[in-house]
Amino acid sequence: MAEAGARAHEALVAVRDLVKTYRSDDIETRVLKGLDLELDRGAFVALMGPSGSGKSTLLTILGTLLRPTSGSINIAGQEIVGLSENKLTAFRNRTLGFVFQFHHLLPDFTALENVMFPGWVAHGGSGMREHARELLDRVGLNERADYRSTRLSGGQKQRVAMARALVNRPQLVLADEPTGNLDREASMQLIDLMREVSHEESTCFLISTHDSEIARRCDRTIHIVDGRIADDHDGLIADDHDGLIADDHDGLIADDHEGPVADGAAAGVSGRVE
Amino acid sequence: MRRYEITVALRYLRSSGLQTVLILAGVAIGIVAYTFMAALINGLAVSLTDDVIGSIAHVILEPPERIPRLLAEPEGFSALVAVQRGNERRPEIEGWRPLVERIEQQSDIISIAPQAIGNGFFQRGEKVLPIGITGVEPARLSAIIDFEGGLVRGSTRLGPGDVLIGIRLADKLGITTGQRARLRSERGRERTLTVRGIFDIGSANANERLAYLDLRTAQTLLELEGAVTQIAMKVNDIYAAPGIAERLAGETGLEAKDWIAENERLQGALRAQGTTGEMIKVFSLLTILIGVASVLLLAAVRRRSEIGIMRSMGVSRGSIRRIFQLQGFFIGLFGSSLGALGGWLFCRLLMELTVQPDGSTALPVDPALGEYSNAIILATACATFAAILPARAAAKIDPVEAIQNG
Repeated sequence: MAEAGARAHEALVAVRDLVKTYRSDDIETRVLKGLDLELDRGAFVALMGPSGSGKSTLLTILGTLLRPTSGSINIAGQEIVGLSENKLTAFRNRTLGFVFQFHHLLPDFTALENVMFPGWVAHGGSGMREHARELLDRVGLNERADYRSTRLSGGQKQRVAMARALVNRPQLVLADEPTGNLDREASMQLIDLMREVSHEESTCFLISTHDSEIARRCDRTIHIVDGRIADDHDGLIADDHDGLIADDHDGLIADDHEGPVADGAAAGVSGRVE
Repeated sequence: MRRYEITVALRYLRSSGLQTVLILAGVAIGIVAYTFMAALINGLAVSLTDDVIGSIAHVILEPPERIPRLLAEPEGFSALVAVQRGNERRPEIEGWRPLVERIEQQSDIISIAPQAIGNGFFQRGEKVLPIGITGVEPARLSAIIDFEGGLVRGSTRLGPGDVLIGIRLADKLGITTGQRARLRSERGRERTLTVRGIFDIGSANANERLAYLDLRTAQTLLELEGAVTQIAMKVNDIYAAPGIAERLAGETGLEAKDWIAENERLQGALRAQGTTGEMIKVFSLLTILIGVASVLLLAAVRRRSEIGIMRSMGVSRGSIRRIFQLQGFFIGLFGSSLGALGGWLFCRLLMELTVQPDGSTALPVDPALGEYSNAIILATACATFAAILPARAAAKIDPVEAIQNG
């Protein structure tokens, strides 16, 4: 379990002065405006903010699928800005895991094959079956291992997607509204599962969400407003958490934010059913 | 190449069901057309060549033409000279026996026949018909033409005073075996000959114009005094004939002609046919190319989000490209293999449907000459090539946009 205060010393993710500008037809849109962020190993973090605030852009950049306009990003000791396409691809495969709002399972493969897939990419396909089975077992879908992904329910698909994100034992899992298409019960099951894995495997989860209930189950909540971090505090915790929340957030917050902070959380759409 | 790339490519093809079946059928039909054309054109070439070379010599040795040479070129002047062939002696080969025996030993010569050739007229009653006289040694009668196979009546045993004639000539003369007719040679010599056999060797001209005599009888009629006018032979590899002709010309000092040079029109016709066949093959390959390219381009669009998600899992652009290249490769390989099998069956079926009572076929399709391995290799290469564009398009897909727009 991550110790508060240890963050600064052994941050898994260190982002400095991150800027992302989109250009189309001579119109510049600045989505991220000099964002700083640190994430610890094993941290379980919610990322909130209104639509268009830059959450998805941040996740995509941390996921190395998008290059920032400027700034530096260090993940697991690797400076990723400026890495070649091929190195980024390999880095993504070994260090990162993704869970998307839509499960995005490969429809032509079984649940087990979907889970093994990132392992095939990393190791050419050997020795992944056992580990993938363990993960499916962990998400409670062992008996569905040989089902085509199209035959699974929405919640099951999303759990397979999570198992898939974990198969290469990533250090950072980026989840972009992973419960956006699930009902409340399935959502909470998924989040609890993520939390469990995060704490047991020391895997850092960064989960973007509009749902304050989900944020409450995270150890830390970061609010992004208008391309900057507007608020960053350790979250209201779930039952098994040992401590109450200190007001010890280390973010440099607040002064410069332009938007109403909590809007995103308050307006969060929860309990959407697929 | 990674193993999962092959797995994904095959899985994509399998799951695209009807689309894959249709494109495989398209490639297969293209290859049926390809192999059928090959079997037809090659079969036609073989059957035409067989027809022609069946009744002609592959290499003929003849005495060289005698052309007078100028003794001296006047220096500093140009001279206008008319050169006339030397007609004072007839070109003939004397001392041919040892020559024939020597050539006969060579391994690429199947059969050899020294021949005395000239012209003459057959006369019966008031009817006079021009003919070509060929004198051959009776033992070598069938060295060039299969008279046994072409015999309609009588026998092929040629004795002095016997003649073998074609069926049309017999018809025109109103003559049959055992009857006699008078032959006058170009030298004015005459002899009454007994028709020993009547042949049909497929060529109307030969059936109407040729008369085969015992060599000695022909030599007497043509006043050749023991000489022959040419030595005809068949060789085991007909396409090696030009080389053999050149070699024999060098060895004997005689002039050598080969069947290929002598049948320029046949060669021209075969070439024209071949070109037509090649064009049809190229068109069928082009159809395959376009078909595969369009199907895979559509697949690249349809699989956008999957491509995006694979990219997010660390699949490189190169891998995405190879997955699509492999799909092209497999479509080409499977489709053309099916097509080659289909083409072979189709040719067999055509052969069986058009078989004549005598065992020959109306269409000269030869299923053995369908160029199946060529077809498979070329179609697979074409389909792989066709996949280049879709593969590039797929590799270029932006994963972020693909994932967001699902």
